[in-house]
Amino acid sequence: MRISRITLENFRQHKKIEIELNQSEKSFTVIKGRNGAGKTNLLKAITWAFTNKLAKDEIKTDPVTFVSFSALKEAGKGDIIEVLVRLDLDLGNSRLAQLERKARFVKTGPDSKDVQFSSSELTVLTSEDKGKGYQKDPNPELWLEKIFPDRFSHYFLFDGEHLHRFFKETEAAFVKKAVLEIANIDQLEKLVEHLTTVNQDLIKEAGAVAGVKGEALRKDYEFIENKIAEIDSDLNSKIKARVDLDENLDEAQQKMGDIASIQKDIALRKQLDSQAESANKRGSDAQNELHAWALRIGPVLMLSSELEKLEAEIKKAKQNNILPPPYKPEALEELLRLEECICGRDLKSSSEACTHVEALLKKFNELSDIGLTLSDLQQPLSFIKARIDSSFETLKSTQERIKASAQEEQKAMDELQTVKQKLLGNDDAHVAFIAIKYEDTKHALGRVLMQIGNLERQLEDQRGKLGEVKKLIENEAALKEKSQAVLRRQKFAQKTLEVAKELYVSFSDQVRNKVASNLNDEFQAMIWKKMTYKPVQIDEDYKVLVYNNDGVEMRSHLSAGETACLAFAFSLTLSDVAGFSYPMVIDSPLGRLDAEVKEFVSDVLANALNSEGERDGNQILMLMTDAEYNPDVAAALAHMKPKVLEIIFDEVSGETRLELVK
Amino acid sequence: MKRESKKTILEFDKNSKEAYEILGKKFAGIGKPPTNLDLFIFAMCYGFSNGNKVDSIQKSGTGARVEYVKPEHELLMSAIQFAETGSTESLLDQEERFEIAERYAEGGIRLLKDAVSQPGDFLQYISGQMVQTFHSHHKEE
Repeated sequence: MRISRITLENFRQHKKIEIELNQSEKSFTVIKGRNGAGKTNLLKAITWAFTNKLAKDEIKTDPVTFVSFSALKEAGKGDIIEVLVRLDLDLGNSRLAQLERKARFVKTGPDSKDVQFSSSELTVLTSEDKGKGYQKDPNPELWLEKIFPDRFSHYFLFDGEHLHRFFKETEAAFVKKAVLEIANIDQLEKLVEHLTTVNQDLIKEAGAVAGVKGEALRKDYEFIENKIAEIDSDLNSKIKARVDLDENLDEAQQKMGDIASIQKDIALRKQLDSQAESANKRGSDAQNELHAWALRIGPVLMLSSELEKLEAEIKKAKQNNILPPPYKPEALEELLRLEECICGRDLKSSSEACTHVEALLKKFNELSDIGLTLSDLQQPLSFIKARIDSSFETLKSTQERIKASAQEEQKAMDELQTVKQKLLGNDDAHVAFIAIKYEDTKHALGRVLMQIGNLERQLEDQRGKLGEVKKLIENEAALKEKSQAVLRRQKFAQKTLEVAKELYVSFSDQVRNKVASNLNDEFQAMIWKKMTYKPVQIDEDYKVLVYNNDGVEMRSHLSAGETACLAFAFSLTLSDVAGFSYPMVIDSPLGRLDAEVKEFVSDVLANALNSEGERDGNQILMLMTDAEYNPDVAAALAHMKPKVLEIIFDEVSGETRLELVK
Repeated sequence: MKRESKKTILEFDKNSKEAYEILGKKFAGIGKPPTNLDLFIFAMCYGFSNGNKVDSIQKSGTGARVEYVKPEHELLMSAIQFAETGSTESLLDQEERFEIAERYAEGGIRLLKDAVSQPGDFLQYISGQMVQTFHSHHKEE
């Protein structure tokens, strides 16, 4: 069976949309789109059309989340909004069908929430030969149950999460259920259960007619039976709790996996923060050094020209013998004191010669003072010059440090920005909360496992007691004619039960082995390490086992890619075992995988699905995010010649549309 | 004849005391707080290099103490005095030297006060100017 066309009206964000799926031999369609574009709702729409449920375990149809938001907004009070999903089906051998499911809602008030469910309807039109027209099926529910049993839907219409949950420790029950349901052996299992009840009723009846002792034994039997039922119910609830906890743990573990990377990012953020801070501090220190340098050297720099001029003046003074002072006026002073020149000229006070010598002496002193003053300036000048020279290196190294630390800080800030963006919404408290939740779940699971162990021991004990009472009843009944007749019927029922059990065991073993063999073929076709693993097995408890050549069980140690392959292989196997090809619709099939693994899985998946002849009639529709359908994945899937459509949600109109991606 | 100054303080103008405090605070953030003499010399050189000299100052009674003036400070003041007078004889007049220094310092502090009030980092601005001066000077060499 293939879906050729999907038509949605007023279904969540799909106001009105028609999707033609790939009808080529390998009917492979990819619908890609951003988060929130409506991919998952497409899966829900298909699931709803086939099963009248929105998804597995999601039976309630809350109108507000079911009906197109824009239709809700547009509708006035009292208006009827009709939600429609139509699937055009190709059943093979020229047989066609049109499956249409409608739900009607009444708008009861002005608000979008004011809406009530009114009625629903399923219509099936069938055509036995293409082009010969359609006929309405009188019993569409029955037709649908025959063509695509409700219980099969979640093996073929599912999200990537579902794939991820295959093959967990507790999913042996899932594998068993899937295998038995698909092969229709679950009906035989129900027969065995029924015969067991009949058998037990007959034993009780034999006891009841076996007299006083027999009555007491019947009561004992009933008491133990009730006790077993009680323990069994307790056990079932614990097993259910274990499954839930296991699922929670799995989710928590997944989150912990995310957390590990988040924690790594948080550590990196801290490191980058400190790097940026340290670079900033170094930069700031260097800046301060530069400022201090400016304060210290600045005055000298600002006067450098004037200092040079002064230096030139000192040099000139040296050349002119002003510096150092060459004048020794003591002789002139002595002549003035003696009031007579060495030539005998009168140097008496106020004489012309005395005035001349005094002026000379004054000039000499003045020149000496200038010389001394300039001489005094020589030392600080050399000191300042030396300081300027040395400051060149200081300035250079300070500027280099400023530049380097600014670059380092910028680099750290850029990386920090990236990490912060990555960590958006994942603060430390949130991470710690998840870690605590993970630990709590682990402990709760441990407690439940212990309780299960206890209950299983009690059950075993009570079953032993029941067997003993049963023997006593049989002995007692053997003595009474009436009870002998009942006992004969019981023996017959016992025999029938044993045959049914044998049949059940034999059939289920056959199917289990067939599934294991098919699963192994599919798995081996997908993985490249064909020499590493022994054939995949499904043991009596329906646990999927993958041993390596050294005999070590490796299933829990498979890589993410190999686990995904195993899960895909299992899905394909179910389709093989069902003996009927159902369309497979997978939402976000590669969502949880790393980029490299995505490419690997899509490559092997493409190869496995592309095997000539084996998969004619199979149909695959993958709903992928833009991140999932990256260029590598697109390249890997290219040789399956998929029809690729992009679903686009227009925020303004609140409607979706499809575009063909070339 | 040599004329030693009797001044004990190189005076800040009474209207510029606050500006010196602000400048002091600005430079205090980078390490050892600058002395009044450091600020005076800086302002003086800044005033001189920008050709800004006031005609006279209104004495405030505060300023840089002369007793802390070192030979290199004297050298800088002398360089300005020589540039002003063009004669080495003038260098004998310390009183005149100090007076010229005070007038340029006042001219300088007024410009610095404006620079401090401008948007942006004052220290970056000043350092940038000094680096530029340094490089132009080295280039010239």
